[in-house]
This record gives sequence, structure tokens and C-alpha cells, in this order.
Amino acid sequence: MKAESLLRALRILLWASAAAGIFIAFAWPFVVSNDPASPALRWIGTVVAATFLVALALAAAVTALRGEHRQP
Amino acid sequence: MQGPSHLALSWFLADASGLERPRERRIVAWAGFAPDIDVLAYLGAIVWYRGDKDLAFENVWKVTHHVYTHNAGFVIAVGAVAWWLARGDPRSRLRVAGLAVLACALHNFLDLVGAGPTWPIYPLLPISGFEWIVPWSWTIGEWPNVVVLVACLAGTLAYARAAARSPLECFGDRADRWLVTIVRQGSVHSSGRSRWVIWAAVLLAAMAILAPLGFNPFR
Repeated sequence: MKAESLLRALRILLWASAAAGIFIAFAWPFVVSNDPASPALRWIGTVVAATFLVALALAAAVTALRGEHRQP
Repeated sequence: MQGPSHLALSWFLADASGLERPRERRIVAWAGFAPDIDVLAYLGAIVWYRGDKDLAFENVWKVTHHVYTHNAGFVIAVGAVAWWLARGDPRSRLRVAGLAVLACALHNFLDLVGAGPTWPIYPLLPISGFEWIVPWSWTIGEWPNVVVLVACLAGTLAYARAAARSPLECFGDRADRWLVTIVRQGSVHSSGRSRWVIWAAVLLAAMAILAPLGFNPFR
């Protein structure tokens, strides 16, 4: 039950960071700023990428440790 | 980011999102890799220019890489193909297509951050040719990309051992079963033919990883 809740939270973090990344790639220059050298963009882009990668690694670890075997 | 990193990350995204069937995970993983399919143009150009990589780079790779496959139009097209390939009820097909779109669009973000400052993405193509690029993007050989690649490869082995499936599923169920058997039992009985296939796959994977880093044993 604990693993289920943790996995659900990690999935939310994963999808939220993915959505933020897609926003940066496809909408940022039109909605926020067209300045690619902006320090805010650099900071946010790096944090979003790192969050996505860490959330994905943790979600994979929890899924594996949960011993889930899906249908072949 | 490296092609193998995109493929593995997209497979892990599909798996972590709870996709049940290998076919579904395969569709999402290949959708996440799909924007790098333009490497075929470069390989074709090398053949066309009879092995002259510099000419192929200048005349083809430099002008085509990212342009036709790293854009919104391509992401939508990949979603449509994923919908067509997915099986089952409309709801599960929609889920697979949605995750395929997510993985393909994420490829663009990860390349914006980690493909180097010389390769823009084209968020509005085919409507507009606007180029989006950031000067702080990690180049392909920089440590963050290398760390992600090594983590993906190590994660593939660890996951195969712990969960009895891995991103090698992208190349077929037999390939995945082979890896799972190797990491769980230490050895596997295989015919001479499948050994050749395995070594060819290892060689291709090594080339896919090392070539973008500029490694050339013949130089």
C-alpha cells in the first residue's frame, strides 16, 4: 500500500516535470520570453530535466522493488 | 541526448506509467526515439558520397538534422502512428498514443537541454520555421549526457534482474528474455546464429553510442 502511494506520487511528479519540459520546448519562447540566454530559463530548464530524470529513476526503482510482473 | 538514452528513457517512462503489454511499451519507446530517425539520411548520404563523412555532414546532416523530425508536426504524426499501431479498446489505444506523444515531445525538450547549442528544435514547424535553441545546452560528449547514458545502460541491467523485463524489449521479446536470463542466471544456451545476432547488436549499440562522441578507431 505504501509502495502504491509512493509510486502514484512519483508518477505525478514524473508527468508534471514532463509537461513542464514540453512547455519549455514548445511554448516558452512564445508565452514567457524569447531570450534563450535568460538565467531563469537556464535554471528552470536544468531543474525540470533533473527532476524528470530523478523521478523516472525512482519510479522505476519502486516498480522493480514492488516485484511487479506483468503479462508477457 | 544520445539515441540509446532516448530509447531507454522512453521505455522506462512507458513502464513507470503502468503500460501492461510489451507491445504498448515498445510503441511508446520507439515513439520517444523516433525524432532521431533522421540519422538514416546521414547514413544514406555517407553511402551516396562513397564514404566521405565530411561531405555527408556538410551537405546533408548539417542541413537536415532536427529540421524535419524535431517539431510539433512530427510529434502529432508519431501520435497518429502510435494510435494506429496500438491494440485493444479505444481507451487503451488513446493512452498509448498519448504516452507516445509525451515521449516524442519530451525528446525535443531533452535535446533542447542536452543536444548542444548548435542543434535547434523547431517547435512550430510546419507552420513556422522558428528555431529554438539555448546557448547552455550540454553537448553530446559532456558529462551530464554521459551520466544519463551510463545510468540508462546500468538501469537496463538492474531492471532486467529485478523485474524480469528491460528496455531490450524494444528489439523483441526474445532479446529481452535473453538479457533477463543472462543477468539472472549468468549464462544462456544459444545457437551459433543467435550468438552472431547478439554480437552484431552489441557492435551496433557500441557504434551508436561512440560515433556521436567522435570516437573513430581508424583515425
